[in-house]
Amino acid sequence: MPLNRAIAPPLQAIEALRITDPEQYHLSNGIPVYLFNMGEQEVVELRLVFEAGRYFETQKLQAAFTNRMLREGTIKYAADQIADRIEHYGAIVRYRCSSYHSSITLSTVARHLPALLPTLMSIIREANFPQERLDTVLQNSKQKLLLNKQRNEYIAEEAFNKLILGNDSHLAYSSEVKYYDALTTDALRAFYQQHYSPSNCRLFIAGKVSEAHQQLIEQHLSDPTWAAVTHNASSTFEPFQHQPQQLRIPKEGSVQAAVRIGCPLFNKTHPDYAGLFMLNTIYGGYFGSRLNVNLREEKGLTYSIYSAMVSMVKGGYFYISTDVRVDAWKQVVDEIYREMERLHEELIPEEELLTARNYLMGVLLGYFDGAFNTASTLQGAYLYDLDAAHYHHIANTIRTITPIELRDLARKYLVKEKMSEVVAGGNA
Amino acid sequence: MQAQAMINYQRFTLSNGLRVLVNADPSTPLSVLNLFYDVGARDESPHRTGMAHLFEHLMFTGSQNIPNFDAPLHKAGGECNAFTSADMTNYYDLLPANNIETAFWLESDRMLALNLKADDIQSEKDVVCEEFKENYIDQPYGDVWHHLRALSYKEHPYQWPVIGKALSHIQEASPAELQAFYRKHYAPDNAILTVAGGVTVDQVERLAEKWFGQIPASGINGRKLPKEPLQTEFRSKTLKGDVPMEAIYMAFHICDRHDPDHHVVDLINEVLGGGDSGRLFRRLVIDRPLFSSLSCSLSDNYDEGLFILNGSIQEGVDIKAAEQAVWEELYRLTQEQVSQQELEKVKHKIESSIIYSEIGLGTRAFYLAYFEWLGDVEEINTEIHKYLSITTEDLQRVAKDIFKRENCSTIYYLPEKKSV
Repeated sequence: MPLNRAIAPPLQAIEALRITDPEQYHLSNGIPVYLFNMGEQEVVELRLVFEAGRYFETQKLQAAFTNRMLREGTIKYAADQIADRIEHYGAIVRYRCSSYHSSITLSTVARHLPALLPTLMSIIREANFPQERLDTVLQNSKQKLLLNKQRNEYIAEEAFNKLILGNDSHLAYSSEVKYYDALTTDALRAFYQQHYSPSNCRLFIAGKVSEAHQQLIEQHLSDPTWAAVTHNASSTFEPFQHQPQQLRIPKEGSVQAAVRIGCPLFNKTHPDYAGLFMLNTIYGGYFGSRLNVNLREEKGLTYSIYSAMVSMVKGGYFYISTDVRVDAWKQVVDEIYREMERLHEELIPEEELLTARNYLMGVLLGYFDGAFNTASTLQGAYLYDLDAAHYHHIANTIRTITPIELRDLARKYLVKEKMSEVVAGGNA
Repeated sequence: MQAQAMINYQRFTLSNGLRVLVNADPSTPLSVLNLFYDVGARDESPHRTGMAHLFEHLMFTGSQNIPNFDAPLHKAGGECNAFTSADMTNYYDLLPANNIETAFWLESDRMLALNLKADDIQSEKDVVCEEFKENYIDQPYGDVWHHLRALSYKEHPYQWPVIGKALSHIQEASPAELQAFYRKHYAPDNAILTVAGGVTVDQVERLAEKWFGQIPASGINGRKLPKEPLQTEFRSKTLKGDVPMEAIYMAFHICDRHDPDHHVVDLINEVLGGGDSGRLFRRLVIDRPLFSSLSCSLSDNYDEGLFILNGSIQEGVDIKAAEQAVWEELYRLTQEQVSQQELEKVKHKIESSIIYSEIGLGTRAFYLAYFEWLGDVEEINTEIHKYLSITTEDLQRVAKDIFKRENCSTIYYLPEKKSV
């Protein structure tokens, strides 16, 4: 019998989410540990997360540069030695700073972990912020800032963040040369001593972790001489009231315009989060979304358009991002709002909804495939005092939310009058 | 040092020439179907560049029996993407393993007969032109890669970037040209199919035969590309534009992917580039603050590729002095052997990156196809030994081959008003 290619192979139901919970325990000095001991590859990832993000700053850029400077010298090792001692083993240490947390992540082939722990500990406990290294780091960061300030996407994003989050908010503020110039080694040292403490730390371990590794980690990280510090959890930032605005930033000679549209939003702990996660997917959250099909696939006006929800411990936002043909930005902005209105007026057809449901169930399977995906997904829950139940709830919502519930969410949150708009690039 | 790398696979070939590799991994509920086509920007005519990449886009516009590629895949719980290089075009579909047949259905139909409808073609041409503008026109220094390739290569098609030489090459491609390109390159005997994840070898054999077995071969038979003549003198060019600071780009010809020295070049790149302990960063960004950033990379091509170095000049530093300092570092590699410690470091680094590449289902599937394409898939498990046997003498010998003024093309990129 010849093959009938017009008929799709029958689809199987996508299997229910299977989440392997980590083993949870505390080191003897109280640091909570989440151990994802799984996987066949001989690699280990160690992530220390401190409540040491922008929220806790007493001056701008303090959190980011404290984190950035950890590898620039400690009491035991100069910056060169730190780099040598890590890179010699083919290991990588990543440093991240966000609105509420800062983290240090060591990724290594498992057998090198013992050799790397002393260096990691020195970074976490004994950073000494040498002046000449800070000067170099600041100088090079300022050069990078100059470059960024010439890119339409950066200009648009910076202006957009100011409009919806405020320029005096820990959620986001624009980087300015004067903030770099005001940073001192004392300010960084004070922030470090206050916030990089065992009483303010969580440890995520993922990969193929042996008993011996666990003992070594306990030995190094719960050293009694690493003192706990009372953590001051207040913020000096003013709360911000968003007033929707439209901003146009022309740039002579550019052939594209960067468009950002959005509004402040709750974070992933909110009861409407799961439903909006689904709605956002249909609106602009994947390649088959309405924004992408309309503006890229059908009209060819952009290489990329998407919408997203950004969750932060103290807030969040929703936004749409695209770079478009410079003469078409008005049309694109109109279409972005028209797609919101369609969601207010018409119920999402069953076929489209089923496609999005299945697509997201597949995406969720990926979130929990293997040690590293599982660890990074669940870390994103634990830092919000959520756990695996959060993802089971999302999966359940994906499967069962109705077109009417989605329409009601659209009417409540995807509303033109609530949005701020920035268009950067093109002639005035 | 122990090399722990080991990926299991089964290999077979269909009668139409399609090579198939399977990496069965029962630990995951997911699967990846990777389809690697042996076609890239080097297969384009100099007068119609950007075709291979445009095709990567057109492949998503619907085929004879399936008007929309993405929706059925999404409905099966999957997602997909693709990329194009100077040598290859690679497509992959990631989806729950129990729906893997959907990926076979979709990929085989677009290999068999792509629709290439006029309005789809126009809209993808527009999308690609926006991609071109976003990355190569509206970015500071964005056009430098066009200039650097054209300066480095005079004959070989690596002289243009994958996106194409100009927007007009993309917009003016005719339906007949597109159809011919498709017929020639998109065929089972020009492709490698890999499936990795929660599948069995029997299942993949059956599905491959069912969906791909009847697609006719194109009879494509090798390629004749002009060989790049040996560069015999230093080349340079000065560009000016709306950029915030001076920058320098230097490109050196290196050996091809099959040359036994390929792995040595890889280590040289790590000695110079590689992280905060790399020589360029340590000596020319930190010890002598001549650059605000300085990095290097390999173009990783099949034919003779490039070692590329690019740096942003620190404010107040003379670009010629910074350039001279780079040459001194490069010459040092030709005059003194690297230390055993440095050699051991870069070997560790390569070993780590090989182990990490085995973790992801997608990278596993891609690299199986990649090594099969290079000529021997078993290299995926044995290549590490080539790196481990490299000596400090090897590094010095190969550095001498590369770091010569007459092997270098340099671009000075200056803010509008300045001159060198």
